[in-house]
Amino acid sequence: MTDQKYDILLIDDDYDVLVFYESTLTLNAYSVIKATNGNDGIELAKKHQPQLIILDTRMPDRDGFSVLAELKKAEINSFVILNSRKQAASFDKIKGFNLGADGFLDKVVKSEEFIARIEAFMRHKNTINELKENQKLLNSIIEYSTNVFYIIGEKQILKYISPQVEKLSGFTAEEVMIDRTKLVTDNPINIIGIEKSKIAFDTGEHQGNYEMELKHKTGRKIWVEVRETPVIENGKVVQIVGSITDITEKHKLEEDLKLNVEKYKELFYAESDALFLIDNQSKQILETNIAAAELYGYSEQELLNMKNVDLSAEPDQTAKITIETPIIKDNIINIPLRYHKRKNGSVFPVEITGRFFELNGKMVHIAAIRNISDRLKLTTELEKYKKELENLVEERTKQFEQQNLKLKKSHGAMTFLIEDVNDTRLQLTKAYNNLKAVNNELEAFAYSVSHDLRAPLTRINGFSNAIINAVDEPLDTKIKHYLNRIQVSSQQMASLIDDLLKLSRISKVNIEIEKVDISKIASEIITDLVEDKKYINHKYLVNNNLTCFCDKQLIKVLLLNLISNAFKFSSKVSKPFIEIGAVIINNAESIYVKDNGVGFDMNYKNQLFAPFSRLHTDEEFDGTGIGLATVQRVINRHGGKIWAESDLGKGATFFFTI
Amino acid sequence: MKKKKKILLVEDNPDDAELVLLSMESKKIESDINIINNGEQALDFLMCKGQYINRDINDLPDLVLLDLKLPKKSGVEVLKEIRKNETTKYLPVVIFTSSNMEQDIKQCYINGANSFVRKPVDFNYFQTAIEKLSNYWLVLNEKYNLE
Repeated sequence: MTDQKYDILLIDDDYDVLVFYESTLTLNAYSVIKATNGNDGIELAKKHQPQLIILDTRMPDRDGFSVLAELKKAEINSFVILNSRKQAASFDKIKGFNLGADGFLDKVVKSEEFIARIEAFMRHKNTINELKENQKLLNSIIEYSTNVFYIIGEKQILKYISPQVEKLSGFTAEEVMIDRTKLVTDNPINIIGIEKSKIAFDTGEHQGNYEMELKHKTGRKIWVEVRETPVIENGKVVQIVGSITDITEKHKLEEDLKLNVEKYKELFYAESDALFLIDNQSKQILETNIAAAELYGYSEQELLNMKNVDLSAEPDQTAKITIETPIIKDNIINIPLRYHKRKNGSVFPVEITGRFFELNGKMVHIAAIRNISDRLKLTTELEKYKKELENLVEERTKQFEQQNLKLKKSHGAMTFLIEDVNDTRLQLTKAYNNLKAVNNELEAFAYSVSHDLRAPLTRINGFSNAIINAVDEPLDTKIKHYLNRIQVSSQQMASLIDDLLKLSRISKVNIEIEKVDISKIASEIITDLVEDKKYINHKYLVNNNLTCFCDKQLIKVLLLNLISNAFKFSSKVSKPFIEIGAVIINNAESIYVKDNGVGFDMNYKNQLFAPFSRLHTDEEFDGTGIGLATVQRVINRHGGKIWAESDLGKGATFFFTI
Repeated sequence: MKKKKKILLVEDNPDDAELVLLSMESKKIESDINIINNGEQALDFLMCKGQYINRDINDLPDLVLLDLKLPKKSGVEVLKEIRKNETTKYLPVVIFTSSNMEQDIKQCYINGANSFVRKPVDFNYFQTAIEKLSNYWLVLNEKYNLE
């Protein structure tokens, strides 16, 4: 709630004075309130904010100076006029003005003069208020503006700079006032600004805006735009008012842009492809690069005076595409193959990439031209290689197919082979089974031989013997001889049968290999043999430590046959001698049985080991012809070897290795 | 009067049987000899079966000369039956055959043959064999009687 506004507050302890002033003022249409002491006056002043306060300097409880001080302290905006009853002393006035008094009113008694003075004060106050308002406005402009304002006076003295400078530069206004040079970098561009500022001061002419490079307290660079206006009074420049705008961001953007443009220009020129900037309408070349000059054989300058169609070997096509290409921003077209011509008239293939865009209101395009002669050559060559490769592949495929065919055939053959093998195996199995059956039959046969063939011999022998006993008289010698022959024959046949059985048995038994003492076995056999009277004259030698890895039973049969043969065939010599020993032949230990008997004809050595084969007659030596066949069979079963050496009449030696 | 010793000769070949008889005669061996020419009949004889049903079962021979190769039942089978039967279990059985096959000899002993003699081809030896066999089994040997 606002209190009623009063024009004038009167503070005076003298009631008469108060009434006089009040009546005079009221008559002149001023609204008046009054206080009779200082404290009341301060209260009313605070409450009503009058335009004018007329304050008595001398009051009993509190004088005018003290009230004035309080009013100013309370920031009362009223115009305060000190009033004294008599002419105020000079020092009082000084004191009053120093405290903020706006004027003095000496005691006046005439109402006209009083009113005239009040009116003058009122006018004065309004002017001041206006000024204050303007000042306020200015302050708020200065305060809220992002710009920094300053005033430079004569001799380039900085008279004022707004506090915003701190925001801009980090330096306070005071710091800048003392030394403003610390704001300025040594960038040469600043010289221009400083020169412009001087010229403006000297000539009073506006020099236009300029940019400066300043530096922040932290060292960071700040770009600013400066506007200066010379203030002229009486045809003479008194000061320059300036404003500073921070354009660091903008400047940076501009710098970047500049850099980019330069970079692009550089790229444009350094590009290995030939580049042209072409006006679509006129087909005029606006920009080009070194690569283009090199490619076409023209200088850059020459190119800049040419049109794109001048470079084409197919100018109609080029013209058509230049104009007819839909005019769309960022439209990119690619022409994979076109023929262009050089200054010297030679034609070459190129690939063109065009980018269409608007530049300064005109439709233009950048054409990137690439010489593809090498590529084409390469493509042709590649095509050639590809063909060759294809041929090769085809050829190889054919070969492969042929091989495959062969393989298939082989596979077929193999299948047949496997079938054959299977067949063979089946046949073998059959044969094996047959053999087994045959073997069984043979066994049965051997049994039969043993029993059935022999049994009749017993009878022949028996009954022929019985004849002798059955006849009372002594028999005729002839008959006796015949009966005797029957008996001997039957006995021979019986022993033949027994030998055959032995032979068959050797093939049948399982062999067990062990270390066998040959010397011992031979000695035992000889010991048995020499008991026979027939061999009473025989001398013999069995070497010690003869051993052999073989089947003991079979080796016994073998040795019995060889040794008894040796005894038998040496029985007719005067000094029969048998030797059993071992000798190394062809790195193998060969055991031998040697005699000094009749020996045999080496021409028949192949018949020696065949069954039933005999090299001597029964009259000379009895025997069945089975013995050496049995020996051979024993050797075979061991996988060994047997052979004989002999000279007729000088004995024989049988060697064997197992 | 001295009771004659009894021999049962199981022999299918009449010639062989005759040779045995000849040998006994020449060696003057007195015995009561029964000749049966097949295995089955030999068993019937011993067990008093078939045509021998009326025979006294306790009238056992002192020696059985058994050939191996017989029609119908083989010698080994006959031997087996003899050893299986309570009354004939301990009867002296001598195998008298032409064979000297190892497996035959083995089979005979396994099945309880008392002896295995091969018929010699030389009739002199044949006679000696019969003589010796008779002397041993009919004279020296004490047989075991069940009763």
